[in-house]
Amino acid sequence: MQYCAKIKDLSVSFHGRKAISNISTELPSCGITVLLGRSGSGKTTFLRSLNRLNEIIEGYEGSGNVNLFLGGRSRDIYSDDAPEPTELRRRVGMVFQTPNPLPMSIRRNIILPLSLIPGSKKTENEERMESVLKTTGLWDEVKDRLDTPAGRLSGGQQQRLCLARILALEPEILLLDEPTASLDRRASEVIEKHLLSLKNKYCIVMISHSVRQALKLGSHFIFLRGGNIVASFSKGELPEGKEAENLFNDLL
Amino acid sequence: MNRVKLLKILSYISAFFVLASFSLLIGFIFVKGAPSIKLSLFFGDTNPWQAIIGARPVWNGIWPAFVGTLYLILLTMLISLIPGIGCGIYLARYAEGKSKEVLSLAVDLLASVPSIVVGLFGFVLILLLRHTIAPNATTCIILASFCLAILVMPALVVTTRSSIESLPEALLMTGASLGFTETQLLRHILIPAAGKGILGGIMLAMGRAAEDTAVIMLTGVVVNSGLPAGPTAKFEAIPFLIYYTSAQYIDRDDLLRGFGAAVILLILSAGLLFIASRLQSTMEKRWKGAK
Repeated sequence: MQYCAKIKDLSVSFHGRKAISNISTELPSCGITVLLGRSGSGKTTFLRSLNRLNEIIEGYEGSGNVNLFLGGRSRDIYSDDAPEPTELRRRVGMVFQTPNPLPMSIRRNIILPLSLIPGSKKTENEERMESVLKTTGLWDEVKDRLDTPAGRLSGGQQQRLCLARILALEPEILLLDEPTASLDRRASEVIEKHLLSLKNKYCIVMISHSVRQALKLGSHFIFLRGGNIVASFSKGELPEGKEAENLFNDLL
Repeated sequence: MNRVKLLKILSYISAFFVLASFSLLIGFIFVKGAPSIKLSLFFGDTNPWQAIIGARPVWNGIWPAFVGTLYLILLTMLISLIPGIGCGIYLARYAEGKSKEVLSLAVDLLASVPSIVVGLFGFVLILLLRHTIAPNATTCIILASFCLAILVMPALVVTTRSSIESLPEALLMTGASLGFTETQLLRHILIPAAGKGILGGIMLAMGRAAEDTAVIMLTGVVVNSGLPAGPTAKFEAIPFLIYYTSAQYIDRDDLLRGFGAAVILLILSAGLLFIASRLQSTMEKRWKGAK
């Protein structure tokens, strides 16, 4: 199997309190890896250690290695060989639990981060915006109101905008932190559909709050408890139907 | 009656109190001052056009004081804007530990210095200069602006700092996750998003610079100098003119002219605040890209 990430002895603490300790695992490069666990089990911290986002939080301390497969080769993102954190975060894109559009227009939400990349061109950015809005199924819904505030979109549309915004930066790995937690069922289903269509193009690591969603989307599953990995499976190892659901519920 | 209801009534009364005092004050000044607002209040017997281009001096009008106050405000803002807002940004985003504590304390102390003390400082500064490197130095408009800048700087620092610090944490997370550097985060997200709050500080500072009398009294304002002749010249200013008139008026008309000047000062401040807020809303529109 091919890997998009190899993690060795990863520990992270905030203000001296351990959030995850000595995690070692590998994440396959195709399909969606789903992280499951109760709140406080370290899922979000684990996810954020893959794009070094923990470091902007006060009281951060971390150790261990995270090797990501980026640009055709494996690099330890915490070593000197690593790309700058700002560049890393573009290549390892993240979508958050609650939709977080910037307080500006739909167009600016996508164009602003793009325009800050050195050497980016205005016309290319516009083209890229159109293409990612089409990928996330938003184009037809917003093409006539690109210059209205993004905050006026519905929750589901905002979340798809956030997905589009990160796709515009052409990441190689996508980190999704409970992307449907704040949405109703229909909006969640739309997002799930788009994630399934993206899973062959990107290495996707997502946290899910629902066992049913995990089983529907995931091809690899990791269970966390108290900052440690307690179990992991690939889809093939799971029992059929209802039994898999029961197994997952027992592990949570 | 429960406490919630009581709180509601109290807040209504407080809001009414503020509105009533505002209307009473403005109304009083307008009723007293409005009748004397005519061209002659500004230019006296001098031809207005010749007064404006500075060809002829104005002896019994407030035009020189009007221009003096305008210069004073602009120079003060020119001197204080960058250090004030810059220091606010530094405190909100870069300062840490001991240096943050010391600097915030310094700003708080500076904010509590009475304006007469700031004026005195300016006066002593000139004495010092005269005894050392500049024997001919004297109180003037640039010195007054410098002292006013010291007076208004804390307002700029505190409002800039608090409006950046009160931005939602999620904004930082979002910016960082999209690959913004710290500088880009500040330049493209935090400062624009805090724009309204920063504008509040600028308004406070401009208002303070427009009305202050104590500082300029010790640093170069005079009753009669004509238009300010340059940065090192003496100058007239409306607040001092009002102060002087209220103490030394000769007859009823003279007093009413003082009220007229008060109305003009209000209009001048309101005009500047209006321009500042329009400028901010234009910048915000451009940042948001929303029509």
